[in-house]
Amino acid sequence: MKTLVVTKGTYHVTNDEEVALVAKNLGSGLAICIRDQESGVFGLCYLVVPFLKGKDPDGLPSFECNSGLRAFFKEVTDVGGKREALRTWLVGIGQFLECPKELNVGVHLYSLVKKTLEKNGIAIEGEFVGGPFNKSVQFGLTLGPDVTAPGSKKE
Amino acid sequence: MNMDNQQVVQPDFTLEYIFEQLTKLPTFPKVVQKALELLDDPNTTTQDLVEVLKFDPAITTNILKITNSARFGLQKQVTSLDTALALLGQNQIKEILVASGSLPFLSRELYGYGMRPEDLWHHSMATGICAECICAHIGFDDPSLLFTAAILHDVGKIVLNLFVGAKLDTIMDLAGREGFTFSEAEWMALGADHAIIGSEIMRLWDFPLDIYRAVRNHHDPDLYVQDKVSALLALSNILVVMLGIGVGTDGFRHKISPRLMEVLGLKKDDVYELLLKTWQAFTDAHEILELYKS
Repeated sequence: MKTLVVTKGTYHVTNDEEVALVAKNLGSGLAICIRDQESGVFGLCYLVVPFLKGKDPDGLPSFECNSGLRAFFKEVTDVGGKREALRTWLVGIGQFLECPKELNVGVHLYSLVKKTLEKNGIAIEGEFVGGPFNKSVQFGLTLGPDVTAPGSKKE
Repeated sequence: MNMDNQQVVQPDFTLEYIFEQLTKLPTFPKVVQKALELLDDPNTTTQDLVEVLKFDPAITTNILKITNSARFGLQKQVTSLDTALALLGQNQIKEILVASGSLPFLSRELYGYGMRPEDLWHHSMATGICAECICAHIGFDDPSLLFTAAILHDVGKIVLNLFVGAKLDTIMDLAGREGFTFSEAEWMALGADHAIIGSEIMRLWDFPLDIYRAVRNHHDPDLYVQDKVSALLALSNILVVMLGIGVGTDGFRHKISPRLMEVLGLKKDDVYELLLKTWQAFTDAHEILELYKS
């Protein structure tokens, strides 16, 4: 199985069952793993911040939440995913032990993503969020999400 | 006196061993220190700098590699030291010198902190880059001072690595189950944390007070809000941890002062923008990030 690394602020959607999508070092960012088992379409979107002022940065279509999610779900349906068959997992959102609200970027991002998914009727199958961990995730059509982090029991 | 029932307590000399290691650490390159001093003298010429640096081939090679990276945006490939120095600004030269001089220290695997060879180098460079972005954002007038502190802020991990590795289970228990910060757990297990050890190293290397104080304070929420350089360094490190760059077992196991943003006059939107700028500048610096391999 070949792995394809999805970097911060980008997404990837595929129907190649030989591919595993990987997002490393999520920090306070959030990886949305999505899969439609019936059509064999799956994808991973790596969001970093809830909002950005001004236009979207070049080459980083999903650095911010709203336009990133829109573009990602469009790609999922364009490749053949059916909204009603989508299963979603959320991974990431490392959190400091104590943090002022201005720096609680992950929590703002997570709330916004949850709200957007609920509004669009997309069910969340599982969550691996929060805690003081810098998580990474590997995800495929039949795999995972497989979540690891330095300092967690798994590693 | 009956000694049979008394428990014999073995003295723990961990802290003494740690401080002994400080004197064994190679010093920061003298030629770089000398060149940094020269750069603070307004009468220094490019030729003066070349005379100091040219006898250190490793430093010269690194300076040329960094100068030719996309990050500095020079139009032509530069092959000589004097041309490189003539084309760059004073702050750029300082930053290149600090990055180049730090490379041998920061390109190591730190088993105790769960960091691969590239992690400390990437984390340090990203913190330096983030510091520059923050300086530009708020108009801080000495970016190279902050860059130096940022590049070397975790140098104490090099010394503490073996000791942390040996007591990692204790530290992780204290930080995990007991809810202490990683720094508090380091203190409890070893009698020191990587920030104070790093600060002591930088004091021994003759860096200025503003720099080693900021390194000392970078995980202490009560201390880093008391001076601007410390606050800026703390925020740079926090944003890089949020971006997940070169983060090890200590990860997010720290507390952030509720006053940090107020002290620096920054809001939520500033944080989002700084995260973006830092990530963009970090990915532009890919040639520099690869230097740990050499």
